[in-house]
Amino acid sequence: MRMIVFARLKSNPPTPSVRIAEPFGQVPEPHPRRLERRGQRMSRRSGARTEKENRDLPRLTPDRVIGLLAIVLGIVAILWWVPADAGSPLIERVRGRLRIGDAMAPTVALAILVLGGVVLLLETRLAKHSIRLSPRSLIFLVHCLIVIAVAFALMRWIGPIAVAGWAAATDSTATYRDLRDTVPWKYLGFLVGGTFLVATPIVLCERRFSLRAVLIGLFSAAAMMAVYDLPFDDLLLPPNGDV
Amino acid sequence: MGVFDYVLAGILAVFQGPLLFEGLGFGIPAAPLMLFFGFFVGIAVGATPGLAGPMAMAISLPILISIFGVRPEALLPVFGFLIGVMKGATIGGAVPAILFNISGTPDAMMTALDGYPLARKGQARRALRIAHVSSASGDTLSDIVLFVCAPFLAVLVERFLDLPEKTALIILSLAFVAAIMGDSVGKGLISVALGLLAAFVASGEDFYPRLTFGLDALSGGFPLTAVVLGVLIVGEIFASIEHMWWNGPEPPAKVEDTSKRGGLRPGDVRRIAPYAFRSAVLGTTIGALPGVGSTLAATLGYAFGHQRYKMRKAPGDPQFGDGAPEGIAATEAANSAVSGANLIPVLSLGIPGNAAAVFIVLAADSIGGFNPGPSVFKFTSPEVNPELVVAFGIFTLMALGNLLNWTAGWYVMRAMGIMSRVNRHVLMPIVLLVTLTAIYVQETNLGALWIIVGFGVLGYVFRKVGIAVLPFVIAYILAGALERAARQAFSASGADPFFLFSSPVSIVLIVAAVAVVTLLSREAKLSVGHRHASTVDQR
Repeated sequence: MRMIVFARLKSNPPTPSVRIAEPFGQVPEPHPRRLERRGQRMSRRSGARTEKENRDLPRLTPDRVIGLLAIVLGIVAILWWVPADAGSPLIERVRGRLRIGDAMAPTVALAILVLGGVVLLLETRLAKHSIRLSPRSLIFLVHCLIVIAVAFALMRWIGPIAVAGWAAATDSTATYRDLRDTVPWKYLGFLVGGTFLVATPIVLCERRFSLRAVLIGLFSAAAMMAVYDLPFDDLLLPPNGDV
Repeated sequence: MGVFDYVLAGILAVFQGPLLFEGLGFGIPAAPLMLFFGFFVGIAVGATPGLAGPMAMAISLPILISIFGVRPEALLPVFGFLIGVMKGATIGGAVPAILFNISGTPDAMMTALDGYPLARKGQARRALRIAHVSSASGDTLSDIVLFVCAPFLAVLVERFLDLPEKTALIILSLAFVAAIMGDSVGKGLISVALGLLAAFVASGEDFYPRLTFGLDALSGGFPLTAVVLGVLIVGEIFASIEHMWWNGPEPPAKVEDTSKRGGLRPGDVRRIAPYAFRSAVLGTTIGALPGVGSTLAATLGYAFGHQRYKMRKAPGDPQFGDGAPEGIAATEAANSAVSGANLIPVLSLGIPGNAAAVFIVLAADSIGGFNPGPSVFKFTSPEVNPELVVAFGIFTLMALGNLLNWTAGWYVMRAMGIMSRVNRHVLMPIVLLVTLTAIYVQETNLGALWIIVGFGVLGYVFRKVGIAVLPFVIAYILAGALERAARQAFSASGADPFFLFSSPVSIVLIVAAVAVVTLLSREAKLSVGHRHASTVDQR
């Protein structure tokens, strides 16, 4: 991986905009191209950014925000969260003997988090570029979570709602809990929710509704039922372990 | 029992273990058959862009546990399947790279550099054959080193390392993994810290479950499977779908050359042998270090191969990158040699070094009766150490897998070109459903599904901000062992706060941990962006 770094540096060498000072007194002004080459060599050796790169890189890059967040959250958690949310302090005395308490391990983990933040901030001083985050990622994530939440809701409620409707139509007193081990009730929620979970991302990626996507979802859910439910009596498909 | 008796017991445990089915008076032992199934599945997923060995392991593990149950007899059949997937996936990855120039992983990209040009010259079959032979050679060397080194290392660790040294060893491993994986040491440390923190939720010794905010829902902690699958698999699914979500599905792969004629030419083996051997040694060495994956091995193997080739290239031979068989051999031997050697730290020290090893640990943890680590290699006599028998059973399965690699591997690999035509935007939602269903049948609770989705979101965010996910998973797995060892070492030392500096060995290990973090963080590595950190080294 480091070789890739070097390859990149070679292909995009930083352009120095500062005059390189000669160490031993006054010497004739070198040719600008020679200066540039020397600057490139020194910059590569030290790993430091040039002024131009400093100008190009905003002060608060995502990497620096992550580093600062790690430091602040780590310190806050060490000082407030861990002492308030652990059963014993860092070191405790039990029957006259000292032993490590429950707060020690999380405190060490958080100290590593703070250290990671500090190291990241130091690294960003030398880095040529930072990661770029786009709001599209957040929009995508929200869409994904909505699809998953709807799929889970369908899995959870389709069966009970269907049973309630059937019971109302037939004057039965049966609930979903009574019928959750019988066909077709036990499959309804998983089949509908699973089909939705598979078909929706396909439809959204293809930007058009297609019967093919629904059939792929239906087949996938049916295949899962065949793998888990048919051969094993003791395994439960969603949501039959919850209701 | 002597060493030979244990080796024999391990071999017999594979062939005389539980039967998968019986017919015509013959019983078919489950472990070898599961190895074959796993090998077939491994090549198929390796040949499918967007899928990889660990993904298949993640999906199949709950199914395997359902089939074989959680009893010690289930260990070898389950390990057989997982080892088969691991070995198959390493050779399967070369198929789309050579035939379609599709590189699902960075190391497959190195294979494509010479494999695809060779395929375009009408020598696709020859390119595949070279990849297969090199890959199998790397795998063989790696397995031999594993068989010799893992027990030796474990015995050394058990004999010379006491509690403080074992604590220091885990700290060194975590420091190494944090420093070497991804593009930034700082981000690696953050990943390790968050993994430890997640593992410490509700896992203390006191009556009050720590770090739970008093919530009952958190009082049981996070299920190991949900955390591992969430960060490794669901996060990867989110990241894979995102591009197609915004830009539409990728066009299906077009094969440049489907010629069925050809194969190895006279002199090919002699030509690629030095490159394959050097890369296999390099890959094995790199693979034995926790956290250093096949990507680095493939990159270095290719680079060293290139150096040698420049000096010895005959006039008229193609350049590296222009269809040189030596380029394929150098890459494939290196990345395949990583897979066996990666099991050295997990079997001898209990420290998983890559995603495949994580699933071996996960299987052992789920089934019980086998705790990977130095205590496995205790040659007790006259009492039988069942864990040691399982360890030699694993070695037997590795050797059988290698045999499969040499024999059936080529035929299965050749037939798997079709897998490259599977659409990723169709595949990924199916993998999501399979993963969620697999978690539900284990936990029987919709809350567990939200936990896996939550860790999936964390895995996705890690990938977006360039934090490597594997240090998180490895830290999560090692957190319990680290805390236990530290508590015991502290008590045993009479509450000495400097117990980690109580012996020269532990001092050396701690100094090495500090040195790894300090020296590697001096490199400004962020500039390569998060492409590499975001790709789980899954092969």
